[in-house]
Amino acid sequence: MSKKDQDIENLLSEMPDINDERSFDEYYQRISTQLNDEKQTHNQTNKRWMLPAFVTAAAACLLIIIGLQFMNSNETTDMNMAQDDSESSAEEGSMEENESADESGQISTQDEEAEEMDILLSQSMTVTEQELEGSNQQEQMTYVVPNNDLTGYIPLSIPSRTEQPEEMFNLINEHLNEDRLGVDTSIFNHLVYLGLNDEGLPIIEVDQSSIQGSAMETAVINALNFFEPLGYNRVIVQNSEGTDVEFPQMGTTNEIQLQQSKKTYKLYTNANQLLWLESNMTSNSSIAAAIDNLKVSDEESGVMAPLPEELNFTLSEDQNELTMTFESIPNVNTEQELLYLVESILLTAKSYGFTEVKFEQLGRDQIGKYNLDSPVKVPVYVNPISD
Amino acid sequence: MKETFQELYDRFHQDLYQFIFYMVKDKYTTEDLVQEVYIRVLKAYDTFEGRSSQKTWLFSIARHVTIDYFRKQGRRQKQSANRFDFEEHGNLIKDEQPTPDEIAEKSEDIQMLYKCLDGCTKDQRMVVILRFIQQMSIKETADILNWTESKVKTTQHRAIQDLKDQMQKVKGGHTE
Repeated sequence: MSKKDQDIENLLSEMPDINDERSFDEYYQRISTQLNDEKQTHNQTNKRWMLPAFVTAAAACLLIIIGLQFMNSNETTDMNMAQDDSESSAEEGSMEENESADESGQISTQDEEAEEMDILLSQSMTVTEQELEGSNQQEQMTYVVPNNDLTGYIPLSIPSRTEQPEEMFNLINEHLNEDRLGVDTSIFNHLVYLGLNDEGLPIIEVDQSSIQGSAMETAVINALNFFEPLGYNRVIVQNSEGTDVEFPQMGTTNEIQLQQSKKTYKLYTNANQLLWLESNMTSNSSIAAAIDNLKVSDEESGVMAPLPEELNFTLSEDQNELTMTFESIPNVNTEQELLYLVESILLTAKSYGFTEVKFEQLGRDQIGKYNLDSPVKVPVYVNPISD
Repeated sequence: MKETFQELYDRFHQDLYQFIFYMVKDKYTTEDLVQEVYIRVLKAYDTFEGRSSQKTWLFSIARHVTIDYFRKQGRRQKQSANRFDFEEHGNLIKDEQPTPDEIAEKSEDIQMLYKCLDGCTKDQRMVVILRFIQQMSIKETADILNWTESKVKTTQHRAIQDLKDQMQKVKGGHTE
C-alpha cells in the first residue's frame, strides 16, 4: 500500500464521530406511535394493494379517453393539412398544433405514470404453457432471491440468453436491476457455476465463508434451485479449494438435492413493483392450510394477501387435479383482484404437486388469460421480468 | 418491545446513526432512516433473533433502508449529491455536538475528504464508512454487506484509489 493510500485511510479514520441529538425516549415514542398507527391501519384494511390497482385502472381509463380525443382531433386536422405530403408528418403536425402546453404536460405525466406502473397494472405475473406454445418465447431461467427485508423469496424469470442455460446462473447481475425490483441478489456473489461434471451435473463453487447461519443456508439452497427447472435433481457443490462445503444445518456435503418445496404465493410490493413472493410451508402441510394462509397479510413487510379474509371454499383432489369450490362469489372489487386470487391459487397448488386447478362457482368463466370453464393448467414461470 | 429496543439502542445506536449519517449527510434524514431501521428490526425481531449476529442483521437492514432511500430519491438526489458543497450545506449538520463541519475547520483535508465521499459509488461509500470510520473488520463488513471478503477488499481498494484521485484533483492534480 502506498503512503498516499495509507494517508487516505488515516484521514478516514479521523473523521469525526457524529452524535445523535434525539434521545432514546424520543425514538421510542415515535416508533411506538408509528407501529400503533400501522396496526390500526392494518385492522381497517388488509387490501392496501388495491389502491395502486385502482389508481392504475383510473390512469388507464384516462389514457384511453384522451387517446380517443386525440384520434378525433387528428382526423379533423389532417383534413386541413393537404399541403403535407406524408401521412406521418401530417399526424405529427396536427398533434403539435392541437396540443396545448397543458395537454402535453398531462399526457406526458399520465404516460409516465402508466409506464411506472407497468408491472403493477392489470397484468398477469405468470407465464403459462399456452402462452409459450402460442409464441416464440424462449426458455426462461428463474432466479430465486430474497426480498430487501429478507422476509421472503421472490422468483424472477427472464428469457435465457445463452445456448447453455446453466451459464445464466453467473449472469444475474447483468439481467436484473435489484434496486428497481426491490430484491437482494447478493447471494449470487457467493456462488459460481463452474460447468458440468462427468455425470452431467452442475458444479457450483460456494464461498464457504458466506454461509453463516441457517438463513444464509436457505438462501443458497433457494438460489441453487435455479437448476431444478433445467432438469437437474441435484448439483455438486465445492468450496474454493475444491473440497466439500460445510453448511450450518446440513453439515458437510458435496452435493445438494434439488426439490421444490411446498409454498404459498402472496403479493409483494416494493415502490411501484408488484411481484409474487413465495414463502415455504412445512412439508406435511395440506393444500387447504396453504390456501387459507393466502388470506394473511404482512403489510409491514409489504406482503399482501391475494385472498379476502372472508373467503370460504372446499377442496377436492383427483390425482394431479385440484378442485376448488367457492361457497360464495369472492368479495373482490376488480378484475385485477380476481386475477391475483386465481394466480395465487394456481401457483400455490403447483408447489403442492398439482398440475391443474378447477375453479367451481367462482362466478366467472374467464379471468384475464385464464379460461375457467375447464381445469386451468398451473403456470410455468413466475414473475416474468423484461430488461 | 421497550426492552428489546433499549438493548438494540444501547448496543448499536451510535454506530447505526453514524453509518447512516455518513451515507446520506443530512441530520434529519438520518433520524428518519434510523427510526425506519428500528421499526423494521422490531417488526421482524422474532423471526431473525439468533439466526445471525444482531449487529450484522441490524446493519444489513440499515444498508437496505439507505439504498431504498437513495432509490426513492432517484436521479435528482444523485445529482444533488454530486454537487454537494460542504461549506454551503454545513449548516444542515450544525448542532450542539461536534460535527464534520466543525471538525473540518481543524483539518482542511478531512473537510475535502468528506466532500469527496460523494464521488464514490454507494458500495464504495458503505465500505469505507464501515471499514475506516466505523473501524469494522473486513469480515464484519463482508457479513453486513453479504459480500465475500475479497469483494470487500477489492471495493475498498477502488474506493481508496478514487478518493485519492479526487483529492489530488481538488488539490490541483499533484502526483505522487
